[in-house]
Amino acid sequence: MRSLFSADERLARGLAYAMAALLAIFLAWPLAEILVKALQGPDGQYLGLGNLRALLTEPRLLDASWNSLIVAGAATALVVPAALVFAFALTQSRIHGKSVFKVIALSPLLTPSLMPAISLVYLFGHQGLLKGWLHGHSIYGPLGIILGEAFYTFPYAVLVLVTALGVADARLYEAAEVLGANPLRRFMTVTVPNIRYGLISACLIVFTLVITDFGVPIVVGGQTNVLALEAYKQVLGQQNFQKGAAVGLVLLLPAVLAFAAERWLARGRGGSFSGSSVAYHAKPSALRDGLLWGLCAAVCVFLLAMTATAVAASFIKLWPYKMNLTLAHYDFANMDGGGWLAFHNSLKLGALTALVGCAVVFAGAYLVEKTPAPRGAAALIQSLALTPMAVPGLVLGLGYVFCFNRPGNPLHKLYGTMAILVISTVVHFYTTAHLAIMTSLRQIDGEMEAVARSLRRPWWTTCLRVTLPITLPVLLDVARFLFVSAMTTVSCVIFLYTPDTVLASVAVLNMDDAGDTASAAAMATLIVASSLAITLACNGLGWLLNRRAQAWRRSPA
Amino acid sequence: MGDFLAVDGIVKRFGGFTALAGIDLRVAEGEFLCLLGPSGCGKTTLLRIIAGLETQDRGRVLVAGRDISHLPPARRDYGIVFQNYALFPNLNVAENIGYGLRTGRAPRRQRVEELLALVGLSGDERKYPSQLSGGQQQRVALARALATCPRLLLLDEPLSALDARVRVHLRQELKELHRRLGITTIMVTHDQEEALSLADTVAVMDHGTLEQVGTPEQIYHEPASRFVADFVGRSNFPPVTVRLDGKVELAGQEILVPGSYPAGSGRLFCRPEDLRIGPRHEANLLMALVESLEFLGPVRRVTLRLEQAREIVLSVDLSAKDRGIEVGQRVPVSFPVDLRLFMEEAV
Repeated sequence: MRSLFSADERLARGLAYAMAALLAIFLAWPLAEILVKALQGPDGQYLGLGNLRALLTEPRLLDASWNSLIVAGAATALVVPAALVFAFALTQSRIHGKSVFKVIALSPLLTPSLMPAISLVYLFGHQGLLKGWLHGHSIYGPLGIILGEAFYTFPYAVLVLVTALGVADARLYEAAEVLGANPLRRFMTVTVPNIRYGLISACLIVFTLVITDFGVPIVVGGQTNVLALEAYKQVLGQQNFQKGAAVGLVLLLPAVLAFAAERWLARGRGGSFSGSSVAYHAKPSALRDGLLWGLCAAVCVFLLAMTATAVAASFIKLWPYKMNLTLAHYDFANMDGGGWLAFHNSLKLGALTALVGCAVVFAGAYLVEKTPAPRGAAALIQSLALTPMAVPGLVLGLGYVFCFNRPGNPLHKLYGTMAILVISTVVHFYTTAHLAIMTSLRQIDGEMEAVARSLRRPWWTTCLRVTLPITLPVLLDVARFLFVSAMTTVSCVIFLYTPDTVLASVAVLNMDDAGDTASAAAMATLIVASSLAITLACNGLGWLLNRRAQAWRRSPA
Repeated sequence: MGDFLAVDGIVKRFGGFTALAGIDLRVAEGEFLCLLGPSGCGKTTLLRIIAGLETQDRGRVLVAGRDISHLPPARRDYGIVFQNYALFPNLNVAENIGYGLRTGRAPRRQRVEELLALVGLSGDERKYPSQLSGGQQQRVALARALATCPRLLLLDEPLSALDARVRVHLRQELKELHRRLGITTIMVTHDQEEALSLADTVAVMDHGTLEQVGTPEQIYHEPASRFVADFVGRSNFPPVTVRLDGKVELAGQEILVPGSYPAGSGRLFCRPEDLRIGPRHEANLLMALVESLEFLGPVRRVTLRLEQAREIVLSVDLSAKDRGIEVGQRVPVSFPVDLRLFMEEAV
């Protein structure tokens, strides 16, 4: 026996169905298309596992797979320990300048993945400033890829490990100390078990990011072929959609496995930091702090160099011969590749993604969490919302091509427009936004909706008057995240842009391809500058919001 | 019939777990009903079904003769207060209280002032929930629930989150409020002192069924089952045997018990305050050893073991005036003449 719903609740249920349908169309459908295409031959005939078998037998594809694994493994081995030391320094030591270190550690998030590759070329390439350091080895190849990916994935590893280390309960350490454990034993028996999950998580994330990125390999990969590059070449170069789909399917594998592994691991854990835990504050130790400071500084120098080099090179006439400053490389009108249109398009994409993304993701989360949505629709929204995390941008882009490029598809006219770029970018980064907003919504007392219903107010009144103001800081954060992600992403949009909708990150790729490395660096600098500007603007807005909300956020004296 | 609220055969299951196994309840207009029981007995589930926040699997809910069983919460006429207040944190006190009022600004302001005066918070209109104490927040939640003049007030453990002293104070205010407004109220609580103090009628629940419905005096002095006797107040349950000739035996000695009981084993029911140390009634006197004394302020709680049956433990409350009792002493303990017996279920 079901209760009748009031008119406003019926509207919410309808919206929930609509939301589920949207996600099904723009996420599930493209992924299904990849699966179908991967099992087809060049003329559309059903090949079964033929394409996938080719991956294991064609020497070229086998070579690419092998390289991908090696490079991803090496990058993980390089990044995770470094990130662990860095995170340890940030959370369990008394070094000075922690906030500066943290900002620099997270700065790669503002850059397109092509940027470190360009910097590596300027530093270690044929005319590289520091070419001598390589003692005859070439930066073009696995070395360059690994170093570039290390820069790109470092902030992700640091974020995960800082969270893992940050929930240390002081009382556990005190108990261990009183029972006679020395620092090393305390580290092995208290710290390490706690961060096991975080470590595995960081490794999975880094591995997956590296194996699915093609921005770094395409600039500094040289002759080394990797799977991500292979997918790009098959689809854009050889127009062999089916082979590209097969590679895409294989690229989906590490992400899905990592995702499944994380959920399986997460299931066994209760909260290790309970409400009665006490935060851990490290005791001062000159030796430990000195060492850590040195290591952090070294890492930060590397990170800054990767960004600063490209930025500097964009202002230098002809590196390394004519080192005078110039703005010539910013004169995009004179270059092929996209020019200022690309930059404007990227800004437009960023703004639209932030606005549309925030609205849609909030709507989905709110309908599921705070309204009596029909169970089927809610379950569909929840599971689809978590899927994009397991889908690399490359694979998503491929799916969109296969799905919406077919003339028979009723939504075909979306293809080639800015709209499809916005939609695909929102879907690409959906999960992170969804989880952030869900967490925030869950922290709000569930009974408020019940009270509002007993007071006979429709759900949208409560949403506008109570829920939105409370979640505004998180929404601002999500908007910032979506904007920066849209500015710096290239893997999904590379398959979906047209000359009218070319983007800055794509322009970087094109200009570097054409040999205009300096202009590519200039465009990349513009991307970083606008990401930075938006981040600062959002932080400032957040600070203002916080001030205004102080009256009611403040806990009683 | 004159019943304002009627609940007929309400059944609710969560998967394989039966939360409510068929509840029938009648509440008169203006009555204060307490749903009392341990955690998991189903009392909150029942309240939520009356509120329309949960849907029953079977049964009906009627208000003033109207079947509201399938109406959404917005179409039922009630106000609700939760254990953790659920105040809107970003709205001040006046905005919280006025949330359900859809009148113009002036009548709304007047009504809010009325309500603030009613709950004793005049002058706090512009404060935010985070600036109020627990007791103040609860009063704002009450005012908000009463703002729309609902005919039914539902309270879900409203005092559980408060300090002991604030709880007692607010309890008295709640009672006074009910006396002044005369609004039909249903309160869920696990605190039997609260139930006895506030309610006109107490409904004791256990494992999804109603154990007893009656006035606080009835519940306390005439418990219908051993569960009620045990849950409400403190009790002694020494095991007794009923002989074939109808006489009742405790630790080998005959005890005078009114009424007749079938032969078998059972439990005697008497409260600590009904037992006396020292000869008061010549019948029903047994010798016991004082095992321990607990000083509780107004009373001293004595734990005794019967001399003839050391495994039987009794709890007796002594006032401060009863002096001279010490641990290890051999004392006479007398049972009152109007005892109750609960027969043990035949296994």
